[in-house]
Amino acid sequence: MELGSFLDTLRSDGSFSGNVTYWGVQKKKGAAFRPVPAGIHPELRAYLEKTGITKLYAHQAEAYGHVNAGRDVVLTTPTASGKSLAYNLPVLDCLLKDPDAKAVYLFPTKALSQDQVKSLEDFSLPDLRLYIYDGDTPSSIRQAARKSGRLIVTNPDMLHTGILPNHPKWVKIFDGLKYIVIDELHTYRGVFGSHLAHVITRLKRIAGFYDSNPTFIASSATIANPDDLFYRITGKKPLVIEQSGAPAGEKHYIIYNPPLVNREQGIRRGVVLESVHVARRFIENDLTTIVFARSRLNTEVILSYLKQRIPKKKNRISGYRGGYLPNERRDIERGLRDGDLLGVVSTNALELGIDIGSLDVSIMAGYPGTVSSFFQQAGRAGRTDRTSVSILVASNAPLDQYIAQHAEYLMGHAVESALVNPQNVYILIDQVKCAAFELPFKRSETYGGEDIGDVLEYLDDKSVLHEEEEVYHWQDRSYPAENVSLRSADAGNFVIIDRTGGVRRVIGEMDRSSVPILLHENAIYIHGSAQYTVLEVDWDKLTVTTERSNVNYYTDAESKTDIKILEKNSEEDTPSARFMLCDVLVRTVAVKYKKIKFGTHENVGFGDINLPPTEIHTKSLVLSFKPALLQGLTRDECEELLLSLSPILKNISSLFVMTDPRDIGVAENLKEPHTGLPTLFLYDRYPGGVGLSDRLYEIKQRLLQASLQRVQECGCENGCPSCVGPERHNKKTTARFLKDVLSGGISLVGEKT
Amino acid sequence: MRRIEIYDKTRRSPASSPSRGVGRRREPIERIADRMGGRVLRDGEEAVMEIVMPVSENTTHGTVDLCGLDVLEKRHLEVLFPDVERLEDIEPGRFLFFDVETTGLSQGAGTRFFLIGLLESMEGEMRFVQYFLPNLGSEPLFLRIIAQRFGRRRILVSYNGKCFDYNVMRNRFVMNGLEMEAENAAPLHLDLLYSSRRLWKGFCPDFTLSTVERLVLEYRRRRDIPGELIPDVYFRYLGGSDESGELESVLEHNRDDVFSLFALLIRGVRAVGDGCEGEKERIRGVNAVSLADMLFRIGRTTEAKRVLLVRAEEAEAAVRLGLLCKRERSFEEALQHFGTLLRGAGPVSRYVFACTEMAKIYEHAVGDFETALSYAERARDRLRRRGVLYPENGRQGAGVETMHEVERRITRLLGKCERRKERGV
Repeated sequence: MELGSFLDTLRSDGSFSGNVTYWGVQKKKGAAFRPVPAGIHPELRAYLEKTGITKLYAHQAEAYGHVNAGRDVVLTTPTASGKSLAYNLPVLDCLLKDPDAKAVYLFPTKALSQDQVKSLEDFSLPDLRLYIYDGDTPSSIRQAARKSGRLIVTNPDMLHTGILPNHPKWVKIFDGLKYIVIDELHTYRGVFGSHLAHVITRLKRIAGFYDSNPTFIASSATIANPDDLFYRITGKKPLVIEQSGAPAGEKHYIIYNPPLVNREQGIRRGVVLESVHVARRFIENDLTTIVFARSRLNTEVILSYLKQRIPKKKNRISGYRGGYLPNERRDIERGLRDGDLLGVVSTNALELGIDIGSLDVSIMAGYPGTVSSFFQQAGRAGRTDRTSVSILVASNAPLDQYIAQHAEYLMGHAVESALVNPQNVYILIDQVKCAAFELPFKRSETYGGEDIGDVLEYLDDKSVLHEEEEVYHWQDRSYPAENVSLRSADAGNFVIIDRTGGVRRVIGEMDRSSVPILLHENAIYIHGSAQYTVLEVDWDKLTVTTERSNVNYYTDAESKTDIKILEKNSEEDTPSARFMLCDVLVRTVAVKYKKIKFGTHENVGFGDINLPPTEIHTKSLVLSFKPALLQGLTRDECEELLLSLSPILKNISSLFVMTDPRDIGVAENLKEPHTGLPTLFLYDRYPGGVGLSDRLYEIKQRLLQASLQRVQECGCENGCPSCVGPERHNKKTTARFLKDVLSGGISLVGEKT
Repeated sequence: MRRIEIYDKTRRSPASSPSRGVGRRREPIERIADRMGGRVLRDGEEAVMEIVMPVSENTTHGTVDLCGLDVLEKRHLEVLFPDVERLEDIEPGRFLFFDVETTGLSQGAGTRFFLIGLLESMEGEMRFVQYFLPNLGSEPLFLRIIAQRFGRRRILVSYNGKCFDYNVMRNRFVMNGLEMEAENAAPLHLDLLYSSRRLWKGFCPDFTLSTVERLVLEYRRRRDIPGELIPDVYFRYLGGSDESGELESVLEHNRDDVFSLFALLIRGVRAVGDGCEGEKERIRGVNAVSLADMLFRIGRTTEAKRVLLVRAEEAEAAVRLGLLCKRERSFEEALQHFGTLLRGAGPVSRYVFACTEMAKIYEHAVGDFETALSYAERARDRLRRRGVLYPENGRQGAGVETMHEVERRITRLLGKCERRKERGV
């Protein structure tokens, strides 16, 4: 069926439209064109003409002009607006005109590099000498890339471990390096972004050594701070291009809030089943549909349900997520492009610009966590010439419920900031080591504009560096970049092995930090809708051994956390509360897991997890509440109150800092030893912090305000999982408490003093 | 709390090696040079220590006489290094043996070399020279001196130098804005690691230089510092806490390495020379099959075959001989060699390979279908007994037929036998 008329059907179908809290239609938008710049190289002009491009979109022409004039530029136009062409034009133009010029393209994943190279090859320019340089590049090609490459497409990890530490072998690239293109800039936030800022600083140091001073061009999804993020990562102030000249087809945005099944307890129909229900309607009508799930687990669960419920088309529905092997993924991408597949259930792995063609429908099973993810996932449906629809199916989570009530948060001005903290001391020291390996440091030298005398002295003291005549030389036999992972605290993924039937077979991978939660012993791991039971985790060899199983439940782990304040960095005292930004020590241990039955999602058992605790030193926003505010409350009620506040605050905080909610930790202490007060912690889960707590401290009022809104606006009677949590029944108390904290006044319970 | 304190409290020391001590004064390089019989070359602030040692005529290294290079014959050398063929002559004055000591095993920009040992022929006499970098600031002078010595020599000899030493050196030249060799004038580089791996395959459990020199040259070092400790010795020296004698032992280690290069080249070329004579007792201590392969590689088939015949009883030689004879259409001889493979214990793959090769010869060259059939059936029977390790129809090795293929052969042969019988009748 044609999508437009199907949407009309949905609109008049009460069982669907009754649950819609927002239905916006973005009208078809025409294009704003500019002529192809006069000075452009004839080869490029010929390519454009050959592909039918006689005019550029306004933003592409604008980018060309600025980059040509030597300005650093960041493009934040929407998905599918032709951003790649906007940076390819000036770069290729320069490479064609100046035979000595070189460029490096950075993509966050190997898949994106592959995609980009395909489109660059389409230009079929003579003498472009384009090479992908990543972990999959065979060594003969690597040599050719080093010797004669002019355009190197790589990723930050390879730049960090392969290229920069070996810069003498890359002289030909660094000599004459004119452009660095950073695609998907917004993905470089948190740990990854903080590391990338250093990798770029190192790149600039080396380029300087070879007398090059490259111009930076980045593209980013819509965020509140593209210029700031660009500056923190590249050290340069960019020109922001945000107005798109590209046309767009009619686009429907729908927020669907599953019906309450228990009004008193505020329980809504589950997001998984409800998304299956919505997706099924489209797939059954042969409308190509992508469903984004919030976790690898949900991907598999939704996939199984869809296959079960649409048996006729089950072979045209597939899953897609990290952990699937590369050729498996390529097949799925091809299937989507060619239209062999009708439906795909994916994690955010398909959110980044991998070419899967244009689909009719994008369904998000739960809010993807950030506005930019929302738009990227939504952008998977629809291109320039046809109607498409994106549906957000809200979960019970407070953040989802907030958004279900506040569509303006999504559709209005961007409020999320992508944060990085290159000053994180763990990242800084690791990266300074890598930089010193590459080029010695002069005592007076600044690094990324910062004085790092203390770090150099420390490393000299530890005999990692050796100072001679005011120059710090690398003095260690190791290769430091090898031991520094840009993406997580720990290097190395775990390999998942299936030993069913006596044959050991690799079935996937998992990052180290997820292992205690997802792959502890006896966990049920689901891959390709097959089930495996974890038998053994080997922390030395980084392997997880599993066996095929067939049980009717999946597992979900729980952990326990203790926090100690080490030092206070900032403090604000109000009559109602003390707000602090502190260095803290966090001790976490995974303790047990729940077995949850498929279908009913009921809890059918527990198991213990026997893993040693982990300790990290990090930063935290600390909220300590004054006694007057809590007068008249029993100890239990106080505890309940803290337990109610923490999930709301944690969830709402990701409205403002662009991060996976899992990167923010939360803990409560009824009598925190440092203040002696009932206290909440919202902390950076990454050692040393990546700037999340700092930002939360800055915006604490807005954070509390939005939390209060969430509680007040929740549809439940007196507390539910979407606001204060299940079985708490203190919604009104919590709301009044938040109001008091905000006003600084005291009106809660009992006598006022 | 200062950021460094936080870091130090929550992380173990970032140093991967034990503290090397700092603060003491480094021993003046002049004093070290005096002690070691060297001298210090200076250019402004920069200094390099040079130690020269003539190699007297009757020096031995293990079982090898370190005689001159004029014993090398080009036709033997090119068996080991085919590239030698493009040289007009292999005059001794063109050779330079070299080995460097480095501050790490990676080849990144942070790994430097601080000592190089060079062995060369000067006016008919062998001479060993070492250059040592006494402080990091003197690297430009160190490199300039080395560039001079390399510039004149067109045949470099090293052990794993192609992948390591030469790359580390080139990095340092680049980082100092210097050139190691003129553009497009790369010298010929003979890397003994590759030739040793072939020549002494099966004689050495691994191919580190120290293993090869112990087993092939029977050379025992007087006292040796393990290679992995060398970076720390240099770091300790730089930090002024060199314990007496450590640096000397590194210099000695480097000298031993370079002398071993020389001895290995002589030993290797001699082995080739002996092997080409093809007499049984002379192919001792080398892997005859590898030697034959090297001869094949440069098209010297007759010599290769002679070498293989000495070892005809060995399976790997028999395989090559069988295939070679088959190619030369000496089918009788080929059958003999493949027949060798059926005797004694061996892997399934080899047995099946030999049977099918024999079946092919009997079928296509001899025209004896009955015998061909019997060999094909032997292959099938052996495959049937192959045990649980192999999948039902998996291939047992490259060029080895699968059960399916063998069965097809049998069916075809049965047909041929049948038809012939009918015609015979």
